[in-house]
Amino acid sequence: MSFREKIVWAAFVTTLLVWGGYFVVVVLKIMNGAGHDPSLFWLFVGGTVAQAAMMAAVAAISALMAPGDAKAAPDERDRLLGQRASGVAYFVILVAIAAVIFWLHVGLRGTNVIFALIGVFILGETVRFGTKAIGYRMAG
Amino acid sequence: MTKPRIVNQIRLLRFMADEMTQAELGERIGLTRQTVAAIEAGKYSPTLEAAFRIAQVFGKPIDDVFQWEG
Repeated sequence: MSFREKIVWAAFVTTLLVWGGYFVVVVLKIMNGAGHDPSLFWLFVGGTVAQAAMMAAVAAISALMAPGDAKAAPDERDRLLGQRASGVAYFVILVAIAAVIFWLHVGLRGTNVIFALIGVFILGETVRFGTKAIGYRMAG
Repeated sequence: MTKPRIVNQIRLLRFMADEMTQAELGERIGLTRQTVAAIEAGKYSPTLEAAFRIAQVFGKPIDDVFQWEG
């Protein structure tokens, strides 16, 4: 597995774990009528820091194990997989934004709008990383 | 999975070129070892430029390196 593929898989898994956990907490809080809880802001900050730390650790360990691989510039296959993944993610984001807009007209209000938009962003990134990771596996 | 329509002789040519490694070939044409492996396995079709570079490394016409079986 190349350095770049390891990074993509790490990004995919950490995004699912960190932000999956974040949204479980958010949904539970909203269901209990505590959607305005300030602790959710710190949970967001903590999630961001946690994911950044995990990614830095994976990148550092992978670079130490294969320094030549880590220094290599992205080649045409890396760029192609990235472009394809971005295209798929863009389509998913469009659909998700449309869903949020519809939801706004049927009752989505206040801070829930912010959570929905964060969710759209995280969904897009998850799809992008996942599509790229699967692309690496299918394309050798 | 459908059978790849473009086949290549890169592995054989590497062996004949003093057992050149995938990494060495990749370095000479600006691709990673993993991309060279993917090309050899028929899982990735290189750009035209990359295909010409590969042929140039082995000193062969591109038809001797890549064949279309469509």
